[in-house]
Amino acid sequence: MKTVGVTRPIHDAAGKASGNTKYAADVMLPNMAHVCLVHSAIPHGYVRAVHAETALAVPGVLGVFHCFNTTQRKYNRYRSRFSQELPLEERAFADYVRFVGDRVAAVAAVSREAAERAARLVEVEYEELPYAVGFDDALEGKNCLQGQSPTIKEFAAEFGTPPEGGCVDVESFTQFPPIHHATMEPHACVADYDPYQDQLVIYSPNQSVHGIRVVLADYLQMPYHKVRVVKATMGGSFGAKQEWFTEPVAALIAKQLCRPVKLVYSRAEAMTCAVVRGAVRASVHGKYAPNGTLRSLDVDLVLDAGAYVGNACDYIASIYGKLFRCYRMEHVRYRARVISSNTPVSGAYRGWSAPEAALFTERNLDAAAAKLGMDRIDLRLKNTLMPEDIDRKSSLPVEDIRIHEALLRGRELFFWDRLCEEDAVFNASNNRYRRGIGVACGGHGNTYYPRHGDFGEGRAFLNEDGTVQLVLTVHDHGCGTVTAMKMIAAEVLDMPDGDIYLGEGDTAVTPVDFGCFASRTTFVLGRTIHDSALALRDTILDRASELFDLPRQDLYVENAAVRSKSEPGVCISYREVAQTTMLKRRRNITAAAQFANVTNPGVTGAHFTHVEVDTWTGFTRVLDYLAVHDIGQPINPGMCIAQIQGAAQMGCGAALREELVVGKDGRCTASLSKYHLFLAPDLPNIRVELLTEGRSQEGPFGAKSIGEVSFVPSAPAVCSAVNDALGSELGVLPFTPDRILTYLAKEKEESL
Amino acid sequence: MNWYTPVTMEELAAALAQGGESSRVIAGGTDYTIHLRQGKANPGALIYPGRIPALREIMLTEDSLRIGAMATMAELSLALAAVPEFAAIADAAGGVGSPQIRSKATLVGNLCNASPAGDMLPIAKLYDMVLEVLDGNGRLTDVSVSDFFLGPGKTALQPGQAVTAVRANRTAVTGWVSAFHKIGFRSYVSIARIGMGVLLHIDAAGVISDARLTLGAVANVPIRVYAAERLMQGKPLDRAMLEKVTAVVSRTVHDNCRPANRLYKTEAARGLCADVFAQLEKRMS
Repeated sequence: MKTVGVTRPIHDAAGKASGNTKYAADVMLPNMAHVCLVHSAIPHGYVRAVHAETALAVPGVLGVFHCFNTTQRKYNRYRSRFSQELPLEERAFADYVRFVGDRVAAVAAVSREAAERAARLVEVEYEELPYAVGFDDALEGKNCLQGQSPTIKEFAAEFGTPPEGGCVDVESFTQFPPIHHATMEPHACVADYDPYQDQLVIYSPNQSVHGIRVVLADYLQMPYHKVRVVKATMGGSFGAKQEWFTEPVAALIAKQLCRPVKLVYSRAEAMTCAVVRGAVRASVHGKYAPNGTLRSLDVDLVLDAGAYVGNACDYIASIYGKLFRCYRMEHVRYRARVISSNTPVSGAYRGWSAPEAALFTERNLDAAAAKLGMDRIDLRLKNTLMPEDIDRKSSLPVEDIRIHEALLRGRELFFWDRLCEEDAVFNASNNRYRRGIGVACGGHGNTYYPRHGDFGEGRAFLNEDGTVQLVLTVHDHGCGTVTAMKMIAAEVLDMPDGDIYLGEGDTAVTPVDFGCFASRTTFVLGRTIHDSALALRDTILDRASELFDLPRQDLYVENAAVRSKSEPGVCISYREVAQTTMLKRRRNITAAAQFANVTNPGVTGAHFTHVEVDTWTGFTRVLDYLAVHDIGQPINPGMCIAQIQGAAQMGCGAALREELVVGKDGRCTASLSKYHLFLAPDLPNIRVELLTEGRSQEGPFGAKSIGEVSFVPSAPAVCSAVNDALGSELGVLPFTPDRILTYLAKEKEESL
Repeated sequence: MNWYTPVTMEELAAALAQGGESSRVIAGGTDYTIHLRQGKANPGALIYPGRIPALREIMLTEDSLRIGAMATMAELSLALAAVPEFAAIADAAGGVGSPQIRSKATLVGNLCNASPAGDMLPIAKLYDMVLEVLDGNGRLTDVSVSDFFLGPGKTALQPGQAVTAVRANRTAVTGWVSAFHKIGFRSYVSIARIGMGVLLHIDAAGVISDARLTLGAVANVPIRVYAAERLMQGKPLDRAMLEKVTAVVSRTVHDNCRPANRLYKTEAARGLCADVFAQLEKRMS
């Protein structure tokens, strides 16, 4: 292959590096108003009055919007397809507020400064209700209204039959707090409304233009063709931009003012009023054969959805499904509950339930290894899915899965066995620092299938000069989707990827699509564009055969030209084929393809970490990191590696530092000065090994997903290393210096 | 809002006189700009003295160190790293925020902002610095650091006054060695949870003849730990001494910090002491 498998920079790398790429916040339209939100100051209660007089008196203010002067209709932020049956939960501006940060009003003004100033002058009267912060409050029902239950939804499932005796019981407990996606670009949206054509246009960084269209059209009672949604350049999502809160607000105000409006979140808003990964606690009871085989996993889990239920009901069901993506499960009993506290709203986060499943499963596997006196890798090797196994929940083959190989390769490349010995020597001779190694595995999917049907549609056009334009509903998160798609088409058409154009999702231009999530982009949409390019190639060959009178079966493409196996002298450039077709046949050369997958192969990875814990300050340093991924054919290997390295950075943060703390007053961490992301100087060189032999059957050139699966094992692997270093069984994340010193102090007290 | 950008000390005094009660002096703006943007501050006038060349100076003479109000953290960490008695200032300045912050933020701004977590507070205390305060009449008054800090965000500075420089007596510490270290939430770009500065004089026999030790980010104002200083006097810098100092520091932290952080800070003081004294030992050799 010429293009696929060879590293390329992403399409907008130069613009981003030079600061010239335009994001939604850079969009300027004539007569545009700037919108600034007013958030609830209380965690739970009713809005009784909004006093906007002083705000309206600020020069430049165009309007103040709140629950008493806007529609009472509601929408669901998680909805992204027409067929979803979901409760309508949110108004643009709440009359019943459920967390500090809930939207109660918005000010539109001719400048951002005026809007901000006026927003501070809006006075809101509340009737406060009792509220719940954290698991215990919410489980006690502290915030329940008359007749409400603390449990919003319960999901229970069982697979297989419980083992009969002869097993070693292993109990573990895992809990993790809400975390922030920390995208470099906060949420932003520009909405433009033309009252003369009743046409709404939305520009926003998002993962589903058609998802937004479904929600806005229904919410604003407009037909779908009157709502156009354009995906803007996105500075990272990690799931934060696949649920809708800026778009409905901006659209509503644009429609009321009949002028364009811009809404850009601050970092504090992105942290507290957008979406977070929800807090989870899980009690796990594993049963293991004496040789380390996992016989049964019994999970009791609680997910705190935060203020709105959003995706939480689907999320707890999805955690169950993810348990079957990495290990052979003989018996699983799973019970999960959704509760709703008065804290920021939970939603999608990179990995969509698989990282949660990995955190508690891997903890139990580590505890089992300790109890059985086994090496942690050996125990996992007893349990991994193998090629030709099936996903026992979905019944689909996992195909050529390579998690077993990933463990073996990692053990070797990480010098696991040598590090075990070296750490033992180091720890015996050091009274301040303790070292340890960690391992974790994780699996994910490549598509919704079979939970939902999945398909894609792509189109391809040959231009007069022989360049190619593609149409596909993609949403590049910043990870290089556009480039990857162009590379796939370039490979099929045997032409330079630089001669191919591909825009992004735009409901006025690109076909209906579900959106870029579920790790479906490369697998489903990549295959779709592959097939579209293939159809274009066939059309080119058909036209060349007709117009130049050449036998069709001898023709093939090479270097952007049509060649013939029987006549080596034949070399008709794409340009010539296009121009001749237009002039002589009065036709364009275009092609389209739709693709509906029927597989969802296993895609997995194993991460290995080496840490050093300072037992005097509680700080953990990550000394070394290796990620081994079973990826099939990588399309753009450099970007796959970069995504995995980014996942490792997020995992280190989730394991050791990141935590949105909601105080007793319901106020949440609202600044990156108090939310301690892992920075580049804190990280070791993150080594990545790609296992490329386990090709998928349906993905383009045998590709599998990487964006989400790469995050799944990262935090568990870091946690595993810390527990190894301390000989501890810590399960409450993150392992901050405070938690580590608290643990050590308690340990010291108990040993006295 | 009015803006003043004086280029001489006289113009600065005039701006202070004109600016009125709600005027505010802004230096690097790394804290204050954030407050402005959040609407937490609404000054009637902003006075920026960054165009007065003399205020950018760091002057090191045989008997004193004088740091102009506009000297940045980056400049300080570069200028003082090789001066053993003032290396603690370089340590602290070099550990503030990120490179971007350090090239804007100033030591004097950090003092005037008076955040209990400010890295320069324990430093000012360590050197018994004197602040030069200018008023609207052009009068310069010296204010001692012990009179300057009144509490979180509160200083003795009155509206219409500006700190133009801070001074440290060099004669008193010539031949001494110093170090500063802090524990934050991560190793870089972090606000201090505890900061510790130590200044030692060690005689030819290797015995500590005089010592100073200050703590920041523990109480509302920086603390000088006299008990630890007395303990060090007349002793060699060895493990036994370090253990005793650590115990005193831990107790001081324990008694002064907020209950929510008590366990952590008390325990972590041990690591902090070890790191500061390791740095001092390195500087002595």
